[in-house]
Amino acid sequence: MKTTKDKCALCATRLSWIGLWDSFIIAIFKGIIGILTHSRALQASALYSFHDVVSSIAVIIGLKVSSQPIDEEHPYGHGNVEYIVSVFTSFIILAATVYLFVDSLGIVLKAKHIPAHWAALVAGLISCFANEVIYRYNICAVKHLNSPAILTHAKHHRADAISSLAVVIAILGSKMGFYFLDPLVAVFEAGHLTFLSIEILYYSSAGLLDKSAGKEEVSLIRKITSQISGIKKIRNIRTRQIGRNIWVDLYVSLSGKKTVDEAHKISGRIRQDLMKEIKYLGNINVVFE
Amino acid sequence: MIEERCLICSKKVEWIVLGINLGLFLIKGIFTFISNSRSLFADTLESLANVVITIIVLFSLKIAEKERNDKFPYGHGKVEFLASGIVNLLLLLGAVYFIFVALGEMGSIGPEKTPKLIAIFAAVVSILGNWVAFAYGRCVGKKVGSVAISANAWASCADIATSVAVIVAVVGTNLGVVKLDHIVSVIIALIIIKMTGEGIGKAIKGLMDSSSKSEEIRIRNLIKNIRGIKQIRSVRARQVGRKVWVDLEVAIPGSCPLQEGVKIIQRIKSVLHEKIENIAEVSVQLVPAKG
Repeated sequence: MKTTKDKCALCATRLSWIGLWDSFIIAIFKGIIGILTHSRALQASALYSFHDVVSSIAVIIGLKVSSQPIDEEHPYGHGNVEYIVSVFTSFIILAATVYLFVDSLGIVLKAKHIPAHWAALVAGLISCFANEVIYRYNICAVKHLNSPAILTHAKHHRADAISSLAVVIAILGSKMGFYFLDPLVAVFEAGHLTFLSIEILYYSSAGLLDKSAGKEEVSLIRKITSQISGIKKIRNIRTRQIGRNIWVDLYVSLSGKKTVDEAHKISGRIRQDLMKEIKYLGNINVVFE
Repeated sequence: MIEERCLICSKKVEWIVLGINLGLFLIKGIFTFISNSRSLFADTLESLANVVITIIVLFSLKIAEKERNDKFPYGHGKVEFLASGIVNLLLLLGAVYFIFVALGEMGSIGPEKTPKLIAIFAAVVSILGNWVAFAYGRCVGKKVGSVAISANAWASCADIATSVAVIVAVVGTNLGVVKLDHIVSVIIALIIIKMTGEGIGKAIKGLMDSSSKSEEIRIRNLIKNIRGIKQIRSVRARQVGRKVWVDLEVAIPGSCPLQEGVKIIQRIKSVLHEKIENIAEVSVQLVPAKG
């Protein structure tokens, strides 16, 4: 039993890299064929894959850079790199999708169409097939490991496969005389992708603006801290997310007669208890007032 | 302290810049139509881009004004870094695109129609208008310490550069020197790339909570003579938009009662708030000194 699980874990780590390269190569492949054959749907589908690549790269960079130790230049660590990568790249993708959206909409409305070349059809089929295979592999790993991260990854590939399938249908349709199908599919895909990019943009921007940790975490911190003896009152709790970690500023009142030595012991207790309960804590400032 | 009139300026500067950019966009568009100048057309697009940029900056200033709340306990000041990063990124992409276009056109044979000299008029108007926007934005940006307003001032400056390139291009083609305008526009684009690269670097530093060394040394010097402090363990200052948040770790004798410690904290706070005008909040951690 254990051996299968180990095998699956190994498979999962390898899959995230395979998935990344697969998306990357397919994005470029679809992009080039899409531009050469003037298939707007294939271009939109390429942006889709590219979007996947970027989100994977952001995660990898996030993992690599965030783990760098705190230094003099960056006294609060490097966690925000992940957000910065996603914000800037989403912005570029957003610009590209909006352009494609307007362009395709223009073609649909003008009703003057040229059917795409058969090459676009082949590209769509290859992309659809490759993504479906990777999706199946990922789902296998999910079943054995129960990891939400891999599940979202798998879903990305499924969505990619579906978008490629839509391209295939669009091109088949345009070959049969329904010329508007190709740009119409592009309009829908670009529209959906715009929403996805805005979502990521919003999420990462909020992180960069020092968004507080979730309500549950904050109340958990309050609960744990209030259970420690010697604390008179919790004045204020400020949290902010730096990449994956939560940094906490705690403002606590103690009795004025206690010495600094005793206070220091209490703050040590607070740190210990919080670290035990909450996994992603970056740093805890305990301020006595 | 920031002067009252500068704060008033900071509220209206971006609206004025928006007006200037919209006006220039219309004027240049009309003159492009009259004069057949390719380069003036590119310049018109730049004004349109500046309109978009100004709207982004206006939006970010609105967000930055918002008070602290539960979701954003440190305020919304950092949105200015974000806006300045995005503005610089857009300018950078524009400049790279510009170089590709210019190099592509250099390969082909000169323009089919010689642009009319009237295009120069629009370019001169653009230089004047953008100069006003640049000087005003730069002054306000510096005085109130807003990186978003400063970034937009540089966008106006980039537009001045392209308008100069338009004049060179129009005069050059009329005199028969064909490639001159392309060379000029490539050089200008390179300068813009360098400037915006630096701007992006600064924005990223702000977003990463990079330390400002000079500020930290200043804080250290201000508090080191305060009575009761044995040692300053660490000083961290981070820029949240226009304000500075300070985290201090200070050692005092372990046997000292907390009442005394709180008094020391209050002394530190009052000194820092008095001497450094853009401080948002100071939090001081007390630790027992060794020995």
